[in-house]
Amino acid sequence: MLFTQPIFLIYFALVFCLHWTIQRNSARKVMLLAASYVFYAGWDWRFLILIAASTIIDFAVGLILRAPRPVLNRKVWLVLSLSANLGILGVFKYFNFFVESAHGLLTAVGVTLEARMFGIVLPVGISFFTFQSMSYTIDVYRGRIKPVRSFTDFALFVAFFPQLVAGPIVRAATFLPQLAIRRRLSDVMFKGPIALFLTGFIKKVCIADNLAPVVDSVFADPGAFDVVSIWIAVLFYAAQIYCDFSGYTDMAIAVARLLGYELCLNFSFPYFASNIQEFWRRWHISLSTWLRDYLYISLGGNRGSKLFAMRNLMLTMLLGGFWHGASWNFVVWGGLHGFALVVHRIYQETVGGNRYVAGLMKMFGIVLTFYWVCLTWIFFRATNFADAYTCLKAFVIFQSPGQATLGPELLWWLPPMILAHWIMYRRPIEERVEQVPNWACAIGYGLATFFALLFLRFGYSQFIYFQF
Amino acid sequence: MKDFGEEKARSRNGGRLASCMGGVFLFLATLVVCNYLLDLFGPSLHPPAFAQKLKHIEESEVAYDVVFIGSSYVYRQLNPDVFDEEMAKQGYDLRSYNMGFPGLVFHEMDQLLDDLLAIDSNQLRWILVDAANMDVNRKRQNRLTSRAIWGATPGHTWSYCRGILASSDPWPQKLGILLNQTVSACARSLHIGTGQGLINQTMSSGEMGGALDSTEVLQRGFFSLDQSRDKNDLIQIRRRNAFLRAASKWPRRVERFRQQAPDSTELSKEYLRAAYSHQVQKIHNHGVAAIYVLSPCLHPHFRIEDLAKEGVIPKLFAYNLPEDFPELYAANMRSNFNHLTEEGADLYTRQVARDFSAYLKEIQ
Repeated sequence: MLFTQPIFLIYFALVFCLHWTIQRNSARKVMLLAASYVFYAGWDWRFLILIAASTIIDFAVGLILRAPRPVLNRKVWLVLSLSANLGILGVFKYFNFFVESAHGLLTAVGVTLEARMFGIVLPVGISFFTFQSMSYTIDVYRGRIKPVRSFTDFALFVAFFPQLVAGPIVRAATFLPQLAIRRRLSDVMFKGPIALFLTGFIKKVCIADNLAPVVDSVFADPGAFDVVSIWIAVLFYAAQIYCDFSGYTDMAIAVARLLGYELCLNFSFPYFASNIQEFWRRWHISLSTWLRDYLYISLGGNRGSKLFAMRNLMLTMLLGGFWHGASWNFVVWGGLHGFALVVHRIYQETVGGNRYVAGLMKMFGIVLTFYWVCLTWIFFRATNFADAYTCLKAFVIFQSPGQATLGPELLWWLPPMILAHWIMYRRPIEERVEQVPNWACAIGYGLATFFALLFLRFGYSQFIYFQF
Repeated sequence: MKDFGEEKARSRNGGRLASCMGGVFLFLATLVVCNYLLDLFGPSLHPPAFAQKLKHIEESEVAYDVVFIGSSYVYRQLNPDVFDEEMAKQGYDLRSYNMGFPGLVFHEMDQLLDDLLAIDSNQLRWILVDAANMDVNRKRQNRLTSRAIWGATPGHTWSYCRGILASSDPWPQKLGILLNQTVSACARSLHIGTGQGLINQTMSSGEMGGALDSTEVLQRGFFSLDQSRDKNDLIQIRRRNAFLRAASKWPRRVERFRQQAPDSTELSKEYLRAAYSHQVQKIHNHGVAAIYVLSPCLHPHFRIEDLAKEGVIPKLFAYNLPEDFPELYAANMRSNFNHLTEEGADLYTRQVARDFSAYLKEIQ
């Protein structure tokens, strides 16, 4: 069930009515939990076993960690919880990748073995809910939060359907307190969430889904296309992945708000970032802060020498890339971002303080950062290194063996997209609509829906981040 | 104090509800107005191939006297060049055009007829209509194709739905088809997806919904199933191979059909009567004569034949009986179980032309 499918609207209308009809908070939470499991079972009911396992383990470990006298050392319980979560992730997401890589390595050194792969189906959203669940255990271990006593609350925190399959990765410290208080319908502001949902819908079905065929056609065989076409494909992919993922997040936040809950911000106009560090403060914020708090800091963070901090940065980004998918392409993508972050840190510590250099960076920073981000998207999107290399050559040194062309007129789609993005950057849509009278808002929603349906692309396509 | 607060909250909720209802009304009104304006001033919703053929007729220097309209039985089997040549032999100087489209169902045909008859410049005198395909759009994957959407006007959807209800399909299947029609009708009313071609030209179009890329095909509207013509048409190649594998059984199949035709899969007679009389009337109202054709395939059409006997269908050329036209049922004339080869199409077209000239002589 996708947010963009009519079936979701029916499902949500039902959940919304039930949620606000039920008066008791505990009953509401049980209903929301059941609804979340139904939502997840829509993909495959067997996936529920995984989410239930992760939930039960972390709930139990959370309670044990704060018990006055735990049976074993607290660290042992933490390791147990992390191993279970990472084990689930390792088996379902990375097993075949490890086997394949090991087989490739052994073959390279002359050892011939038969690689046995398993037909493992990647459960949708597995990386999101395991990270969310793990963050709870780590926070309890670090003493930042108290363990939750209600299993329903914890299960709902892990499985809350708006953010279950593609984030944002919500922290227990921000979400669990919301569950403790009964939400009131009168506190819900409708105009903002509806506008946000429509914005997300338009981003996904009108922009991302319409750009996808253009991008797919080029990345299917980049060697056949000329330089301009590859540039168009890369720029379109940058727009596609942003609209796809941030569109999903907008809809998730809006749906949660309509139920009275607040999810964290996940995107803040990342393509207007003037440096790579700022980009990561604006792109997939819930993941980047997760990596910072639970990986970078655990690795030692900024403590120790500069070289040590840079190593931590690089490792964090490599693992962050690996989190996205079981492929070396994602590792390279993460590595390129890590490299850029290291370069940026060196720049900050050396010439960053210089007034002229800072002025220059202010002028060209956004373009440079965007160019670098687009360059890294090539590895993210390409299916293999050979294709990535072809695209990279066209994108960096303007060389391509291909003759096929998409037609440069497609580039005319970029200015309106940039303009719309900039208008929203000036002031978010959900803030704007709160100032608008109700009647104007209703007409605006009608117009937005009209255009959304007009450009809707047939055949519902999955959100890109569902595969992670 | 608490009661007062609750009362206040209740009254506030009441106000919000009223405001919400007003908002929903305005929202829906905006959608309706926008879609209505787009209907009035927006581009045509025709699938590209349909639009191309209609435009060809509209802009052609040739004034067509006869148009063949129907499914692949027409598109693959009635060759206008052969027809004109045979008519000339019979002493009639006529120009014909093939408006056939693969899989064209009755209601699509009905709407295509509306568009064809609405062309001011045409000088049509006769329309040869394929009487065989009184089918409804059944497939789920078709419901959002440009063809399904184009055909899903409220009037045609209502007509479709009546046809489905009148059919002998089991109820779960009927409900599925009704849902498909409703989805198509919603898509048409709300113009869902009609703007997507602006960025890329790959709007899901269903069979023959895409553009015709051959000028030769567009000039005549005819495209035979000769294998040498289109090596990329995998569906046709598969059908042809299946036929070749079973070619030895074909004569037996024909014989079995001749001895005992299977049960009819047609819609109810009342529905057919209403649908055909409406169509015939529509064609006649434009000063054009409608002639119906049952093509040479092994499908029983008892009800259509009954309607012809009743006079609802004014003239019927029936080629669906192997005993009457054995040469059209010879295995070497068949491309697959349902269609003729180019040679077969040639033979069939000449037969139709001869019958048509006999009919003209008869009415003169």
